[in-house]
Amino acid sequence: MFSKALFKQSCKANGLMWGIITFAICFMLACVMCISGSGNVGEVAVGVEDTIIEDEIDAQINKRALSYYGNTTDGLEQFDTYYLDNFNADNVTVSSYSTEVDGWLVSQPQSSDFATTEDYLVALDNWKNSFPEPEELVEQAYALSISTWLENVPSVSEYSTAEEYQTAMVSWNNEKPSIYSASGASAYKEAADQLTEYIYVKAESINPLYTQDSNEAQEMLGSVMFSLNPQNVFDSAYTDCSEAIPADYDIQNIVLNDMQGNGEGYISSDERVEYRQTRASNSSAIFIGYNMTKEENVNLLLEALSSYGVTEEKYATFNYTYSNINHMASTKIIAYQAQLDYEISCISESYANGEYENEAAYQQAIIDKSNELSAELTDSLLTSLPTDVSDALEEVGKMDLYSIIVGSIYFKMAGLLLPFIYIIMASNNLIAGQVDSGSMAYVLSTSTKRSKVVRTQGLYLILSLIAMVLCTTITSIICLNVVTVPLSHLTVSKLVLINLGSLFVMFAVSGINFLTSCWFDRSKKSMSIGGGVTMFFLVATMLGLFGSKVIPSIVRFDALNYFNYLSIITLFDTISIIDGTNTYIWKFAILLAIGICGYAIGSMRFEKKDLPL
Amino acid sequence: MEIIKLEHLTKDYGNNRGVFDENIEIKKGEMIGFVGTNGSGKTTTIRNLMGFIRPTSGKCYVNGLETWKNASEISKFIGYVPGEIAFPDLKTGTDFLRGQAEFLKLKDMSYPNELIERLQLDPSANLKRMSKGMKQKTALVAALMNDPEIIILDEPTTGLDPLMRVVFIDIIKEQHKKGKTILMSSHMFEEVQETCDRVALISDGHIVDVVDIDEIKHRPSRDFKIEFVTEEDYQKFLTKGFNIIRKQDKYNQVTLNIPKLDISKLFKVLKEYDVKYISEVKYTLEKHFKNAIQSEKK
Repeated sequence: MFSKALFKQSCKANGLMWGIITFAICFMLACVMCISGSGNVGEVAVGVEDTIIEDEIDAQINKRALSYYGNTTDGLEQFDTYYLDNFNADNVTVSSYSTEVDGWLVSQPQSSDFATTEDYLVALDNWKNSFPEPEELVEQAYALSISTWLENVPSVSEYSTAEEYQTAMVSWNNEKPSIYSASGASAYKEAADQLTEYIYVKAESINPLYTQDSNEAQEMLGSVMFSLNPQNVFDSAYTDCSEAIPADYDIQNIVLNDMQGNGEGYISSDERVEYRQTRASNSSAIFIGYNMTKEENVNLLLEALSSYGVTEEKYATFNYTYSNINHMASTKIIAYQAQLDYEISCISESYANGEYENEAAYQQAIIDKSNELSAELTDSLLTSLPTDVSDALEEVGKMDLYSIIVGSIYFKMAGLLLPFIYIIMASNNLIAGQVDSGSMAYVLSTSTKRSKVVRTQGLYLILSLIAMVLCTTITSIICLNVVTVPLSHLTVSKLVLINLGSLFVMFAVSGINFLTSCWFDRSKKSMSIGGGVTMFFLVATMLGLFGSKVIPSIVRFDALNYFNYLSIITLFDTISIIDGTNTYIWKFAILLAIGICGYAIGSMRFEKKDLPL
Repeated sequence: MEIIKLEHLTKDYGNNRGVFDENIEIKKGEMIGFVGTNGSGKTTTIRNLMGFIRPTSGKCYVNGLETWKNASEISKFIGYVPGEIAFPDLKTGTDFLRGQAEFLKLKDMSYPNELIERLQLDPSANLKRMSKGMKQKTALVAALMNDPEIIILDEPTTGLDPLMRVVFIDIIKEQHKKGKTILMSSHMFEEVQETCDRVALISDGHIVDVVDIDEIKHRPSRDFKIEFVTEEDYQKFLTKGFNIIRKQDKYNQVTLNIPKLDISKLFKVLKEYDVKYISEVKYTLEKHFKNAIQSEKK
């Protein structure tokens, strides 16, 4: 069956190479396992994790800043529209009411008309009670301002001379509240209410779960109201952040422009848009900073991150202070707005060049572009931040760096390189090299059958690989026992399976190389084809690693994953072994089949071909 | 009883390369030479004989066994020295020879050792650093160590110095005397002429001629070249009725072929002439084959 003499000869011829390579890979393996296992990996993993956590939080903050900004600009625009509408409607309502009031004012009883002071007082009381009843909100506001005004009427007794009294009366008369201030005040209040309603509807349209009472809806409302700051309710928040209290939201300009009949035009004018944007960007940055540094929110985030080893102290080192967040958010908003402006200017330019068919298409293009830029933003709220961050980190948390280094980097790549070189050289030496040089003639002229030759050489190659893997298995088990790696799922049985996997890969590759060695008479050809294919597999695996699942999604190049489909080394499923699933078994079977085919076809070819000896 | 037989052996590599319709029978105990220029097909014929390549058509037999199908069987009887000496990747000659002995399941190393001594070979030398002669000797020892019936040598003396060649040929001759069948290829006519019983000429893949060396050595006639001092004598001699095969008027030279028995007659005739010189023109294998190839072409 096998030729003992030939086996011995092959051992002698390839033994030195086998020894050197086996020693080298065992040494490398020991270095990799011991050095990376001696605490460094843990630190590196934590370092990587921290960086990823920070990046993730940054990303989420940026997202939310933009979300607030978008929400706020939208809210303010709505407010402006509501305000204008209400103002105009209220003006109509209040002007008829004011006529009534004016009539009532005129009907004030004069003391001279009455005989007695008592009569006069009764009449005055009646008159006061006959004050036109205000019904609408604006009417109430007007009535309130009128009554306040009336209470401030100068009394004769306060003035020493009649002249002074007259002057005071004139100025008092001039202070008679205009209907506009009343309608202005009521329009503000009504607009604020409508805005609240609008935000609730919007929140629910984003997600049916965002009901009126939900944290999300309240947060959305809060971000807009924070910017509007009606009746200075948020002054304390601004002060807490040591920010200047913003000036009251500008409605005068709307009123003024409306009086000139240009209310709507003004609201949509560039000037007004810019005003809203500036206000929104300022308030959004402050709002997110304010909220993010609130103790309750910090605690929620810490709770979500606690499983990733983020303690309060560590969180403090991330430096998410108010000013940092504020700065980050405003930078992001400015950049976003600048980009949006730029894109829109580009669209405008192409519109000017006639690239859009009509006005509608142009408007649609702008809307599409801003939707594109703000995609995903509407849904990101602070409430969801802890879960979003922890979801993104789930993968990182699972990352077992030690297993990746030992399994996917060492056994699947670095540790295969030298055995592959051995396989390429040895399989070539065993058949093609001897045919090429002619030394095979000495073997065949000693009545050793070709089938026996090829079987013996194949057996030698396989046994030498088994011996090699046996050495690495022993080395790796010793190393695993020497080092203690925290948080690693690598066990002795998994390590043995990984070693077995590398044996299957080597077997398959040696089958391919044995085949080319048997097929070709020239070692040049046998080596370049067999070795070329082998090295291609290895390089493809190296490139593929960067696209494979072991690399955290943040730094993964998905495009490189295609290389994994080009390499048979991919069938060595270290992830499956480490995760403890069974998918690696059928992949091993394929590797085994490839190897068997290589050896079988190679031997058949060798037995039948012409040998130039 | 023929021990080696080629029957219409053809191995066609295309482009007129290979060997075509070779027929030869080699008897046991015979020493036969294959001569031909480089690339004429000697090695291809030998590879067929060893069963290393499959004939396109035709067959060759060793000991009555078809060689391609029974390659391992026939190699038992054959000691083979390949044309290109390339040893397995081993350290020393001793390693190699020991390995070969193991392949041959040879326990007793006295015969190989005797050979080594006869060849004055130092097998402990590093295989890679061996001179061509040493390699050749080592290969010969490997081929002869199990005392095979048939010895096939592919250009065994190429690259050896003249002294070494003599030693080498002597050993081969010795084997021949022991009754071994020897097949030796060479591109040197003299060598095969000296050693072989029979010589086959291979040219462009065809066996052009097979000749017994005896026929050459013991030809019934001889060729002589004679130069005369005067043209008068030269012209006169031409008329004497000898079988003249070449005339050179310019030098007054003549080449003639004469049966061995008539040589004394020639000298008698020559007595009367003023001969400048006379020499026998040797009839060599080379000449024979040149004639053969020429006649083939015609």
